[in-house]
Amino acid sequence: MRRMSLRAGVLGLLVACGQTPTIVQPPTFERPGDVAFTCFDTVERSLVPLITCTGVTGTEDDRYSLTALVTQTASGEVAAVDLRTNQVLDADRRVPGFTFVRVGEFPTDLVVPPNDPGVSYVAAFGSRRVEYYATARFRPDVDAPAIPIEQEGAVSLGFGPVDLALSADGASLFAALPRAGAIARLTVEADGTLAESFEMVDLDPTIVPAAPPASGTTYQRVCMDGAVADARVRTPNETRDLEIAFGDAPEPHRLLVDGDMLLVADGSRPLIHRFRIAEPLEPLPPIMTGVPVLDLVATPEVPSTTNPAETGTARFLYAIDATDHSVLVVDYLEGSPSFGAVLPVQIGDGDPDRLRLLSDARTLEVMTPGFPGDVCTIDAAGATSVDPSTVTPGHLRGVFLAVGTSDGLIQLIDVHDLNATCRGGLNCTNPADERDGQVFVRRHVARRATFITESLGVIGTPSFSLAGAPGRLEPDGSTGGDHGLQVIDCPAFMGPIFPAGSTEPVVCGILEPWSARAERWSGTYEGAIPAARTGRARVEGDRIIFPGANLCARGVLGREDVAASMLTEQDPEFGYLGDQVVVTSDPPSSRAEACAVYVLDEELGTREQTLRIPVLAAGPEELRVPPDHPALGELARCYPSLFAAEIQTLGAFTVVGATSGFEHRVVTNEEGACRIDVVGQPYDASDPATHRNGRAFLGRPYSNPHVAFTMRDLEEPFAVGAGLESELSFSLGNVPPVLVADPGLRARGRRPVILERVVFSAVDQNLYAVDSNSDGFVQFALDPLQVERTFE
Amino acid sequence: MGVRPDHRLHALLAGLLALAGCIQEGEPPPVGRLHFPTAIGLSDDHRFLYVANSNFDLRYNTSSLHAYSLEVLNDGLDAQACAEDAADRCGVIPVEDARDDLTALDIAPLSGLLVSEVYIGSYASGLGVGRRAGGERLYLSVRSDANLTFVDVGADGRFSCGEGPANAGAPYECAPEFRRGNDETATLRDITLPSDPVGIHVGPLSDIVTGGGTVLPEANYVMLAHRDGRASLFFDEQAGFDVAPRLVHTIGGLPAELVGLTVDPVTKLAWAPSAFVPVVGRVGVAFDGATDEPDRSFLFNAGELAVRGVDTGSASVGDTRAVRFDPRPDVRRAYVLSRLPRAMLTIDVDDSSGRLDVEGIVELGAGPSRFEVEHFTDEGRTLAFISCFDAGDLYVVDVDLQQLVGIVRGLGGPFEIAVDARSVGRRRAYVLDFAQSVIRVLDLEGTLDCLSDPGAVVESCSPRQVGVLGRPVAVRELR
Repeated sequence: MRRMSLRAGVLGLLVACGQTPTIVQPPTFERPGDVAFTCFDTVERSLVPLITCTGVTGTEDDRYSLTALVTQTASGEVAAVDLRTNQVLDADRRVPGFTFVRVGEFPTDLVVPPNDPGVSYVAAFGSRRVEYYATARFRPDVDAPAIPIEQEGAVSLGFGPVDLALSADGASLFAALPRAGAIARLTVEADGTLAESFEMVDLDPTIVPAAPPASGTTYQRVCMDGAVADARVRTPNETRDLEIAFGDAPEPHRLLVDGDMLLVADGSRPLIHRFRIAEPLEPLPPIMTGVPVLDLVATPEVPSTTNPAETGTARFLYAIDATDHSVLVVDYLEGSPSFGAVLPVQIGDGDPDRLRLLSDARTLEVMTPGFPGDVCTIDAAGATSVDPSTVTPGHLRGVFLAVGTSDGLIQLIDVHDLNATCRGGLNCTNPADERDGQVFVRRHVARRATFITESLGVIGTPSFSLAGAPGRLEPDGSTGGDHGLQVIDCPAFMGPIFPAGSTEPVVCGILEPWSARAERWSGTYEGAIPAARTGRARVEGDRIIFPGANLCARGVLGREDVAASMLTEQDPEFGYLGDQVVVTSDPPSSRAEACAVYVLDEELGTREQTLRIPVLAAGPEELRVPPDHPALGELARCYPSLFAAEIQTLGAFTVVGATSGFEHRVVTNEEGACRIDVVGQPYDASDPATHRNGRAFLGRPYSNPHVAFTMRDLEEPFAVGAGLESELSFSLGNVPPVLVADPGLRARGRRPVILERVVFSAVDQNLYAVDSNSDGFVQFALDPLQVERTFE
Repeated sequence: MGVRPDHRLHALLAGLLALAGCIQEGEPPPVGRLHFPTAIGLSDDHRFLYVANSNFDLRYNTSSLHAYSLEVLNDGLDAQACAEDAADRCGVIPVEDARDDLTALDIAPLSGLLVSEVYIGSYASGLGVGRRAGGERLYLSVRSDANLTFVDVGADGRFSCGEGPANAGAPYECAPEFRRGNDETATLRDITLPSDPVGIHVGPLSDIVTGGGTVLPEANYVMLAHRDGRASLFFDEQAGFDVAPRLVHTIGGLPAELVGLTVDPVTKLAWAPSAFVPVVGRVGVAFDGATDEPDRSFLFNAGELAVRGVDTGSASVGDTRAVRFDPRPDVRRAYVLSRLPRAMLTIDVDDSSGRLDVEGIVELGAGPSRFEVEHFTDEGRTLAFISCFDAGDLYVVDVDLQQLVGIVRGLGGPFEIAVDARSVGRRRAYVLDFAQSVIRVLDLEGTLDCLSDPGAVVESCSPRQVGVLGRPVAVRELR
């Protein structure tokens, strides 16, 4: 009954919103790090193979108890949690309070052999050894330990191990030693203890050519406007050529045993090492990832498409990029022509060969609830082969990637959704749930949390102010004055968002929820370019120095930079006059009287005059300006010392997204000049993802990867360099939220989370999260996704 | 909704601060007595250890500043040879503070340990060491009456702040002219020092000059962070028109509940963490080297960096306590000590625009408070030493490996830390134990040997506590 009451939650953006997760123990954990599972027979009082616990319900009706062993990295202990009785186990009842089993300093990993669980292995980073214990030590109610305490021991490695992996036959234990740049192979004896001697296996740092990705089939289920709509969905761009500086020596961080293969994630070299587990280890050609990686997981073999008639299969390896904590995907199907290639997976304005995530990745896990299993089918009458109430975004049946992110959430990524074929109904008509008319399910893409019942659109009414007077943008783009927006044809893959669904829109937005963002957009006439400012500007001849400003990276352009960038008329920056420098501080007190027109009137918040100088050429930290410009003389007269300044666009609207920022293609060339990168980031009119431009001009269509509009041309255009205050502003919304699990929810509110590990348990089909910040261990059910229990 | 323990501490401190300005009756602190120490620093030659006491409970009518001889301290501790499991009640104490209450402890009185002592205002919140001809100058942010106190130090380690060199057994109160604050309002811009200075950064003026053209005076600059989101700038010329620091500028608009500030050695922008909101404020100094008119210098708000990419529990709250920049010139990283979540964040400085670009997260114990990052050249290791006040632990993190490599437990209330990474053979960390009013001395040689020797069979590479300086006094209610 208790379990059922806990399940009665409502799924939303944050799973378990409105629930009261149960904390079943007083605080006992201390900086938990890793978790492993074992199965306990409560009748025979013995440890049994893990598979024996298959199907346990986590209630006291079960004969078998799934037991989680959790390392405590601060105290150097291992705690045990009985998931049948919801109890953290006291390892020594003779001592008051909770006593856990002391192990070596800073335990980083723990392995319990699934088939022969009598002896467990602990990687003690601080003690630089692998220790082995009778697993019964962690469950004191086991009658007969596999080995007596006297036989427990350790193998000193000389370097701190950060990860362990056991071979499939249980005969070898591997330890990752990043400081040594090697892995250790330890021999497991017949009784489960470890042999004293071990083999140190060096890792080959050699880089070999990377496999090119093949353009494969797309696994997706897309219903739009009551029809299958694959054709209106973009395919990802090609993967990138990365220029990353690597370390010289290998640095193994994570190990993965996959059948008779051992994979080693290297946090220093841009590859994943591969070995065939034999005697001795047989090195195989590495997988070239292009970047060092920190964590890796592999999926089982899954269908290549959602079409049940197709028999092709696929397999993937996911890894965390050590340089920016993004997640990349590798073709991992043996025999595939592009085996080992990093795959293009994302559409929109992000990196095409990385998953789009809410935040940086810290840990990965592949979940396989209900897999292998039958794909959902629909008969002609619309009846589904599975309970139609489970054909929802929140019910997880199939193969999914769980990404533990740095902001404390677990984000779910679709790999193979067994229910996808029933989403939206037969041929995207008559869905099982009437709210399921719009469906966006795609492999390697963040799963949506809710049914999509509203299209992307502008929230509220856009505003368009002029000279400080607030104005409202009417559906036809007018404002009551000459200025405003004009009716446009939406670019490819965009649809009308203001007015929503209109055949004569004035604002268009990207159609795919995968690449859309809910954010506020503003377009300010001659507005400031974000972060292109300094408080220490100074003049040196015809140059204005911006120390440390990194102006090219901010998107700054001078007139000559535009001319030298080899633009075509198609490029949105074509013909641009270049940006301007604007002085934003008062003259020093010694010049305040003589230069009073430049002193800020604190009551009005304005200056009588503002010094503005057009930019001829920009570099990372300096701007060349016209030497004979009158404002330069005024600058010398009134600002003999340092001054504050910013860069504004000139004769254009500065378009900034609250999250996306100021889009641009400006880079620093080899001569140290700011240039538009037309080679590396070519403009393609048919692909909005390439429209990285933050300057909108009157009468010229403007688009960026998210929105498009056209400012009306005016009979009397705004004066260039006038500093006229005019701003268009609107908020894009109705972006369907992504599905996440939140381990930070507690009965008394939310607590900050640092996710150490996310682990799927196939035997009870639950997901577990280890949170070192709140000292929590959280269990999630997956069908539907919701918090079941929290242990602290 | 309960009040967070550290906020209770702030509230208590605020109340005591209100009293501090008017309660001046009573006795001065006993000579050589550590009493809720809050700030620590090393002399440039690493011969002396400077410690400022806070007089947190206002038991005495003033507080004190001590200079200790590191040679005497470490010789004494080595001679004591304290057992590791007894090191928190074993150590040394200045002979000037020895009484008959040491019989239950294994604490040896030492003469020559305390080199000098002077009295300063209560609630010193930070200590910076600046160069000065013939010695050094210490700058202290003092909260009781909101001032910048400065004390000259001779080559022999003796303080001087009004009555000449102060001997160990004969402290005196620093003269008013060695304080700059509300009692000193006349500045070039007619500004006064804001209240509640909570952090300090000191450096040579040449570090922050933009441009050139004139011969710079030998001078230090001093930046103060104020709790209410303001920052102040002093210039302190070593010779010439004045011998005292001059308040040049002060600005507001920084995040509330500032805790301190640290200057990026490359951009010269000071990063100021906030214990209240999820942003790190940044302040720049504009000092024009092409002119000799210091009134043209000013502080400017260089923009906030939002704390994103970590879970603070809520988008509107945050709590960061300190910032350090990697000491290696070729490594552009900052480290931010966070309480929400409790972690050391590794930041790519150059990629942080508008928000912190978090490269790594190392989780910590409860109540992370202060830290120092030091590079150990011989071993090629860069280590962070982090005090976790609530847990009573000191964490040691390898910043390159992003791994915890050592932990020292049971330290009472560890707060500020000074790390001597240069005195090879006697590299040690000095940890202020605020709660027990002692200085904990940790040996780092064993840790460094251990980390460098893969052949050694070890249980742990954690630093070993070699003993305490002072008399441990448990004050549990502060926990």
